[in-house]
Amino acid sequence: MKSRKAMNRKTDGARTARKPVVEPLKAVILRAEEEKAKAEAIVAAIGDGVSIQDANFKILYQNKIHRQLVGDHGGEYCYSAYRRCDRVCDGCPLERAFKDGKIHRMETTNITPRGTIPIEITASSLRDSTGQIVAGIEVVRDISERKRIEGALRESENAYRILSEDIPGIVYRVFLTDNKRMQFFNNMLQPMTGYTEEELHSGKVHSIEPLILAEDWVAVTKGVKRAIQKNESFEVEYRLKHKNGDIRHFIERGKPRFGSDDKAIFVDGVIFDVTDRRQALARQNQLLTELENVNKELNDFAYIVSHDLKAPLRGIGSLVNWIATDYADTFDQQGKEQLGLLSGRVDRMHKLIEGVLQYSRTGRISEEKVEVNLNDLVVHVIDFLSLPKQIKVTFENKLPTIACERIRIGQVFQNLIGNAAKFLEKPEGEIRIGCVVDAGCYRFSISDNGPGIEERHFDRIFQMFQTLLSRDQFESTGVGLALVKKIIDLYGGKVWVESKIGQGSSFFFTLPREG
Amino acid sequence: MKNNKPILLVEDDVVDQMTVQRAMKDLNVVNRLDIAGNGEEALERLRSSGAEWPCIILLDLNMPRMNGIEFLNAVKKDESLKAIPVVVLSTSKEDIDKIESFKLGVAGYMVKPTDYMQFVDVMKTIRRYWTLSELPGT
Repeated sequence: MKSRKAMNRKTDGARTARKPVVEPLKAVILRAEEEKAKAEAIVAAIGDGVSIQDANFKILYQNKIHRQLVGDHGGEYCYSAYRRCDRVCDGCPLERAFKDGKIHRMETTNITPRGTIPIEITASSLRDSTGQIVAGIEVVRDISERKRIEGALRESENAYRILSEDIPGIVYRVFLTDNKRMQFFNNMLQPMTGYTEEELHSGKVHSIEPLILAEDWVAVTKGVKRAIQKNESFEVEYRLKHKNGDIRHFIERGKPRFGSDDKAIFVDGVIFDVTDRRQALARQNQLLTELENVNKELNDFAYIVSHDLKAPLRGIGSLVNWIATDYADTFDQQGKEQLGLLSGRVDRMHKLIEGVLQYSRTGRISEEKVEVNLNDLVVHVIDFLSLPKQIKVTFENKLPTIACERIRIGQVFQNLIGNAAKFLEKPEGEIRIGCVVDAGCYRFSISDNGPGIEERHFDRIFQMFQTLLSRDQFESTGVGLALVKKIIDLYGGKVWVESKIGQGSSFFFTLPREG
Repeated sequence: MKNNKPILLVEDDVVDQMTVQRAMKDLNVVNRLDIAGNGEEALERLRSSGAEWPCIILLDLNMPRMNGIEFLNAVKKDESLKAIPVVVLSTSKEDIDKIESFKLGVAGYMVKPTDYMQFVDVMKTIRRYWTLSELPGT
């Protein structure tokens, strides 16, 4: 701007000179010299390049900056010196200034010793005292820095535009001081709501507000208001009526912006459609509830059925007992044997039912977890089992103290030690109990020197009512290991067996270590 | 027993009724055994005019029409009946049944054993206890 002022002054000066004046000659010369000195000082002080060409575009003058910018070309034609052309360049601002006497500006490039650079040329004509255009002045400014900033700005704007376009949600700004007008920064409004920006106009409101379901609106306002009060970001969830009538679930996250007077001026945010996710979640929760109900029903069913089976069974047991007592003389040997078998079957069925009851009770009822010293617990269990004298139980190492349900974990040891003892056929039975810490778990082992188990039975033995020997051969319910597995499952542990025929068996189970 | 008033058995299962009868006979209990098939019948019997009140009531829990807990609720609300000691005789080992029963002021809770001889033991215990313990209105 400095340059234009300088030029205006110059032309104004020229115009003043045209006026008819009556002045002593000496004074005129003095004034002219003063003007010249002033002009020279101004030109020298200008931060831009200045060059003066005569009416034929021959370079009369270049200031220092101009020479630095394009080199020293005094006496040459500007078009050949600066642009390597053999005639006046197209759109030359100086040429236009010569024609109409006005100021012209153009942006172009110039070949300079530093290479081709973007420049801005401002050209104006110079007149002599008669008003004749005799020369032109060009102010040349290096605008490479400006161009670079402009380019960077454009690039960054572009990047933001692409970014907001690519966000799969509505990017918005709400002007709080302008009746909550909503501005949209991408094209997601229509795909998500069905409405165009124009359609959203309803009176003075220009917002998705009227589409939000009334029931959800209070919570939304509350959430946004609180965020503005506390100057923090918010997240609100609401249902919105799509143009096609569908109800969609939206989740909106935003943040208020404050002006210099600490008043919130707008809210910026993003809105996402989470309908699919919400539906999937609802479906998942429903399935989970159904599953829980079915599981509970199944457990209750097993319990109720076995409980109700007990009553008639007890009746059968009593009647068998009375018949055997009251008619002892009437029965022959075979009859007595059959009564004995009947009585045995009643006992077996009773044990099976008790097993089912015990199994279903685990999981239905839980005790409080307490710190249990397993050494004490296992000694207690062995005592309770009153094992035959020829069976020796040894501890391979000290067992830990863990937080668990005393009765349930007691059942695990009772069944595993009891099983080992039950199937030991040797005159010198041996049961070893141990525990190691392995991968964040306690791994317990109960090993015996019994007959061993074939590998093909390793899975079967943990299933309900599965026994390897006929029940007449060996009275067993087949509930014990199923119960062990259920308890260990409840604790998030694992149970398995390693065994070889004739080399004994080792039952392992893990319990997670806390902390 | 401390006195010779009858014992009221509230029990729907005929074999279980026989079991108690038989056990009383085996133990030479001389008190008469009155039997009601469910809670409703028992209440009717207790409330009918001229009925001799029992020294104790042996009560099954799982019965049709009016179960043991409902019967207890009714008896304990009845000023004239609430003093009669009730001993529950049930197959249920459930805590909830035990807690409910004791909340309603039962004098004892016995789980019916499957085995008859064990049942006789239970009856023996009941008799022994009520031979030593005072009964109201003796």
